[in-house]
Amino acid sequence: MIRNADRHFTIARTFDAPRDLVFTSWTDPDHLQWWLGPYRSPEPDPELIMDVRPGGRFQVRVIMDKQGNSHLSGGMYHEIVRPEKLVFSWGFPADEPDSSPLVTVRLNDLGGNRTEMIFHLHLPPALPGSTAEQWISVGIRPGWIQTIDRLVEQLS
Amino acid sequence: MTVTVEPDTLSRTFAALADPTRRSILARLSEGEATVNELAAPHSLSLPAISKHLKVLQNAGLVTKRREAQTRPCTLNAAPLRDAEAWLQQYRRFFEESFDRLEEHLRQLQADQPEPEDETP
Repeated sequence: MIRNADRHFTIARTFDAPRDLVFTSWTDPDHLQWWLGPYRSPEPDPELIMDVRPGGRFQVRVIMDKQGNSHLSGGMYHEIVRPEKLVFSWGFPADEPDSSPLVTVRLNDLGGNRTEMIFHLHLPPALPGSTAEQWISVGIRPGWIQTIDRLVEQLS
Repeated sequence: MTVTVEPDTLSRTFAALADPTRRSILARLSEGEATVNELAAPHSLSLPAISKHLKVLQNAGLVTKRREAQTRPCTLNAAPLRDAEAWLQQYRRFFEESFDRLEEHLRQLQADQPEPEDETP
């Protein structure tokens, strides 16, 4: 059970790219698989699924370190409003969409080929126990070690 | 009621996770409870060394020792990892890094685009 009231965060970024291209980077498999995750394989992701429509599922293998340790992430698309808004759940592919974090991506055209992206992630009211266990199983596998190590650096 | 996770607790949790021996102990415990001897078996470490690692994990609240049984087996406690704060920090880190790559991806795409030419097919 989540013990913290502050269950969400927002990241704002401005890109020197047209809004349509930024939106496509989120919704086109030929784009997404090359940037999502801290590392990327030089090979196309054979497990990639992106059924970009409300209720459609996606899964993508995310590589967490230079050694290539990875796990499958996935979720469900809730809302797709090209080229300004995308809402989807984000977690493990087998998760119930309702118990997964919800991601909202908003894109604002700033003109002059610039796009502001507002990324918002919201944790569900209660993460089920099974999710915590899954978290442990990936959290202590090598895949997450670097992330954890970096976190430790940040916190210490 | 709102209980805010203290940064100290969170630092302790992640500091405890930062050591490979302790992570392997947690991995073992995620399969079920184990005694100190069982936990020490796969490692080339002395029992006192393993006990020291266990102490760190206990202080971080990740491991509890059962008092009732004579062997005092250790069990995994997932609660600290269920803190929203810990999740959020992981997710934030993940996406911040992804967006660095997205920025690079967008830059490359536009650099690769050939200059418009007066070419008619």
